[in-house]
Amino acid sequence: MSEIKLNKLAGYLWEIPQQGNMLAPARIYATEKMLKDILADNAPQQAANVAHLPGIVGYSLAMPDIHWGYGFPIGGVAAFDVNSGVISPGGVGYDINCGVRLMASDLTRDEVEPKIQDLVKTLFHNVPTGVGSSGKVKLAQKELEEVMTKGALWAIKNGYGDKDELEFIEERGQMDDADPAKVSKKAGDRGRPQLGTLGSGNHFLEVGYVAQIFNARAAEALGLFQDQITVIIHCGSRGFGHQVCEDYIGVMDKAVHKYGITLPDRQLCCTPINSPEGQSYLGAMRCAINFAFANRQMIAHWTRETFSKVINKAPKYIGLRTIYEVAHNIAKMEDHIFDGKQMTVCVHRKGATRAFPAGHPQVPEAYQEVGQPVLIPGDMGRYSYVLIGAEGSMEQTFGSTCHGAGRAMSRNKAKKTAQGRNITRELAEKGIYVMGASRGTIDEEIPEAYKDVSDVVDTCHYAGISRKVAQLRPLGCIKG
Amino acid sequence: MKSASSFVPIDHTADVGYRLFAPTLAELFVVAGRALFDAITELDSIQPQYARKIAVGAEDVEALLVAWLSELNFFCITEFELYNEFAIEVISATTVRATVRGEKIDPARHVIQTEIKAVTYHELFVREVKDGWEAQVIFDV
Repeated sequence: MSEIKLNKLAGYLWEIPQQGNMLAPARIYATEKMLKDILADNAPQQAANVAHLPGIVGYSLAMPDIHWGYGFPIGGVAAFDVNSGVISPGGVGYDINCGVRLMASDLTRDEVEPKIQDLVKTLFHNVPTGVGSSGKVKLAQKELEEVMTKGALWAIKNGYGDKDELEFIEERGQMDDADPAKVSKKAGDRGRPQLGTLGSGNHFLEVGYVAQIFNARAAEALGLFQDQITVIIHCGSRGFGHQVCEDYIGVMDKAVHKYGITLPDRQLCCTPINSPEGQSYLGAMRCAINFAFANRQMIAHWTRETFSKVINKAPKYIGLRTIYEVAHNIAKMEDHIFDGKQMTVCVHRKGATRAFPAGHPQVPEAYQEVGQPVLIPGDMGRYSYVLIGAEGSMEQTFGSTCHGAGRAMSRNKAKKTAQGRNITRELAEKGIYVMGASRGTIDEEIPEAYKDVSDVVDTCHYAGISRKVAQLRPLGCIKG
Repeated sequence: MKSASSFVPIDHTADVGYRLFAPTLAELFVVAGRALFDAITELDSIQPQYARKIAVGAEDVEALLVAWLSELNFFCITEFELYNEFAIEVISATTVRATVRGEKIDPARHVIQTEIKAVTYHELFVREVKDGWEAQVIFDV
């Protein structure tokens, strides 16, 4: 049980005051109801630990889906002054640019529901999933370097999708200043066979439908309508990103001694942004960001092909336009105003999503009047949400909001809870057809293992950092 | 009398962790290897048919444990190998050399429970206690 004392600032906002060696307070977005679970975890202590890192601006922030991570909490946001601050690979996570793409079709629920089993089976066949899954693409080193620098554009140039959709991907699917020379051979060895794979753990591809619309104007701008068939792709940079993170945690573990940084947890290891170690990590991390953009672009393409085959219509009648793609494990240089002062900060989002409001120059032109779409997957059995960024995110959270439901149960506990039950059948009885690479993955991901994502998105909605647009409900899902 | 080696899973919300106990540092590294492959698959399903040499170094014994497990995981992911025998040949606080034995993943015989993204430094410790060595390690899955 955590012994952390929290001060209530509002119905949805709590503060751990600056104390000991903290350089800023920590703030947690949560309702009173959610706080009990949050406090039962070590996550608030982790949010306080992040506030020890040099150059932190404002607060160490935790979104309502906060849960115990390693080093940084999952659901953590922290901005560091670009001149005096640090960069921490643990503040990005092992799965660099893990993210979510939402695609919306021209099909309605009644057209797809009768074919859902066939669709899920064919998706499972066409999208490589699961532990150690290898992609269908064999990359030479030179091509891998192109993936590292060009991201989604590499995939499009190789026939996976259309150039028009780049506008609807964070950073247009291509992070600048990626430096393949800073990536180890090991990362290449892990990544090369894994491009175009979903992976395992909590990653998935879900076919669903628009179940409820909360904001008609925004839904219209995004092109969402009631009962429309949607696809969510949740995955990241696979072993490539895991190895980049691992390599640089080793580098930073030494850098903290070199630069005299004292840490409350070794996993928080970091280095000044402007140090050679910091610049190398940024160059390598951006390669992993691009790897993930290419990965999701390829999976999106196979999803369209699969729909076309199973629904037996040409792709142009299927639709599956990219509504938006967000990254939720990332560090980026962004301009923000804090305390009335314009500054460039390195925003770490670890299990948190960028949520820029209407009018922000990085919001696609088509969404300028409503704001950047934010995609919040829930658990397998309930629902997911489409949100849009709101003004409050720029004032309170360095342009960020939540990223998902957040786990409420450990994987061991989830497996124990699932023991003796047939989770696949339980879901099928609710009209959700699930296929997984192993039964273990499905058991670990039982709906009860997660918090109710509606509590999470409601908190962000009332805090004014993002607004609800639509709720999506699942029909079918493939899991790694 | 020294206690026997063991590994015990610990509950962690998002990840998978183990507490390790062993009479010697060498045996602690053996039990750590077993814990890693216990997280990945069923240890009893692995047959020690094939040998691989492993040699890693690090700044201190905790970083060495991370490096050791990370190297085993690297070969599991890139070469699709599973190990259940770990013969430590040389060990100090900063170096370990070993021959590990196992086999290639055979989907017909091996149930792969999870993929380990990484071996973390989070809440990591390795310490000498009265009757041997004790450690804790958390895997990101």
